[in-house]
Amino acid sequence: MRKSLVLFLVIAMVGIAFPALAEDVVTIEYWHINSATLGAKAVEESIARFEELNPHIKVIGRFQEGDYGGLLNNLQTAIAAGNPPAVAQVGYNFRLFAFEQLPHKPIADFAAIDPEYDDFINSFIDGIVELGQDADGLQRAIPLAISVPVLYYNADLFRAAGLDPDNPPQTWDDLRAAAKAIKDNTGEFGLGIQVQPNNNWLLQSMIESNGGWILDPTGAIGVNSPEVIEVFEMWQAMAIEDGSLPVVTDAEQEQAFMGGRLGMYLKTSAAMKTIANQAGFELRTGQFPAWGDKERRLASGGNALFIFATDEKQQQAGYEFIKFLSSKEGQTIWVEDTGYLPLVKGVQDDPKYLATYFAENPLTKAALDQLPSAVAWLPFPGPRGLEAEQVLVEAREAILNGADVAKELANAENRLNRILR
Amino acid sequence: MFSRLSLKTRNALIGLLLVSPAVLLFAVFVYRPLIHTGILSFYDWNMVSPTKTFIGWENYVEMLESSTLFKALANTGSYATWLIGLIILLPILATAGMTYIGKRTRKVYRVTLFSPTVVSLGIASVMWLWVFNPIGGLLGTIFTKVGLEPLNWLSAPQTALIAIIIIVGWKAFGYNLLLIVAGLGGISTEIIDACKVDGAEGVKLWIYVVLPLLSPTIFFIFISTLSMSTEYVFTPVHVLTGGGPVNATTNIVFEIWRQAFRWFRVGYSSAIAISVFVVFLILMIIQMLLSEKVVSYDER
Repeated sequence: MRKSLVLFLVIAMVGIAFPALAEDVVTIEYWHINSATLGAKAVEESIARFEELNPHIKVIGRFQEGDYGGLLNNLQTAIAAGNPPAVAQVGYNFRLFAFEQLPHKPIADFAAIDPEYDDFINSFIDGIVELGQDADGLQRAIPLAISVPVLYYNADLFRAAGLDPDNPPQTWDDLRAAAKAIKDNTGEFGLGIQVQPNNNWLLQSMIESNGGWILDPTGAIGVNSPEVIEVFEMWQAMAIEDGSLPVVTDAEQEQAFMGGRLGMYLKTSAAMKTIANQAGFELRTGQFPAWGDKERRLASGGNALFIFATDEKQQQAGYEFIKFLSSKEGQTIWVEDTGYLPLVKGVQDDPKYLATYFAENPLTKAALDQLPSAVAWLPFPGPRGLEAEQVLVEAREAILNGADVAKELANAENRLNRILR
Repeated sequence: MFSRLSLKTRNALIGLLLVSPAVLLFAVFVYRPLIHTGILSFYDWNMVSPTKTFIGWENYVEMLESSTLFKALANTGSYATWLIGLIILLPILATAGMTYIGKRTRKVYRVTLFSPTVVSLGIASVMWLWVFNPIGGLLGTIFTKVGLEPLNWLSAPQTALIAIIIIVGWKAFGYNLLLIVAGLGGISTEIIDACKVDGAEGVKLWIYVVLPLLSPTIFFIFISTLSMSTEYVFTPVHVLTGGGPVNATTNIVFEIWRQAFRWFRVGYSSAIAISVFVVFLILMIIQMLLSEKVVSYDER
């Protein structure tokens, strides 16, 4: 009896010690919205390459459905349950909410322990890294993706309608005329504009390019101004008067464009790879139209990476992963499989990284050329900021179904006042 | 010690022991969250912040003033009314019709009509997106061929609700059909033959004999359709319309979800949830009292 007890104890002690003898592998979760049609391959490659360079870290990528809103839902539940992912993508429009309401580990905390921190922060293109900073300038997150709205168009339909595919419309008036021409001469719809059931991303570009504001830089509500009314009246006219813009969900619009039933489509540059792969016609891209000769202001879509882990080892591993994704190599992998634009210096023109890619893909030119016009995606402030998005979404739905533009926008202003005050 | 208790007490204890797993499950998964939700409805909280602010009845007051919520309530009523019509009346008519067809064709009909039930609502929603798309979708193409303007099913407030009803009705039809067919099988042929001898034929037979005998099944379908119409519509609404356009398709369940998980207003959402619970509780009690008078079981 005693002998077997001693034997048992020895085996038990070895069994307990064994894992401690093994290499300390830290496993972290990375939450993203990159589906099979929008960058899943890039995520897989990034993870594989990162694990190669960092054998003591294992990254598990977890796709979250429902876009940035869906990811935020799941993030909320995970944080409440005490089981947050180490790193997650947070859409830029949610960044204020994340800064103020979601417990996270600010990136700036690593300045004290990482000697390469300053170089890291300075590696970004001007104006980009600020997207991850709060109002006091504290670096809380790191931007990962930048996209701008571009004009995708079907060169075959252009020719059939008597338009020149080498000269896409440059202004909103030209755009309206082109859309009408496509509808009149080919019978197909002329223009689709990206819409989302719970955010106003593309609308912001339309409004700010016209000199208007949803919220101006002082935070005042600007939706009831002549510039915004003009934007919605143009949109409504194309839908109802001209009949050249279909009033359908974004999924239906995308289906129609890829099936060759829609002449032009204003959509995020991030969808470029998907659309290029599925379009059965000659696809071209052009710049987002301007209002007359006013300067374009394009809301940049995309997300920033936050660290939500509470365990120190996981936080450190998450930080290393974020640094890799923002490195020249990481950005190259990322850009090549999506339509996002590179955020760090020295990648665009370097043949070792992305120079060849951009040279060989003329479709990317429109987005690249517009990068200087990019402005921040507006987040509504305060605890009810997320709900405020809904106000403009409903105004747009009502207007495209024939409601009076001025009345709807006045109503929207009242509702926003109530929600944001 | 156990053997010293009386038989009555022993049986009572065994009974309690056997019931306790079910009671425990209920307590943990139904009553505890219910009470917790009730408490949360008096707070303002976003589920992730460590601080909760007590605001008393404010959430309930806001509820009563919300036009979105009234629209959601009206929609919930519309869903229930339409669906009760579609998937209770139609299956009854279909079953009546099927009694006049041969056995083999009847089986084919049953399989075809039941098959939508096995498709998941999520997949069904995406499938119907293709049907409803006015640009090149199935219905759009048919409409254009006969010279009509295709409808923007999911983007026009007037038609979006109907589109969702069609999807849910299409899916649930087969399930209710099967239940009625099963209920029909439970009616003894002796009663039917006796009534036929007395002269009841065709429609009269159905209205005065078969339907009353089917009333337990119909009552069950009625209750389940009522609750189904609030829950099932959630998936197609979430996938296809997001509650819009202009709140045309949202219902009370979607609002509860949206407020809590889209906009992080857990307290307000809890207030709506508790109110719905109270209303359904009252409805249930009324149904129970009514069922004594309306439903006839074989024992009478």
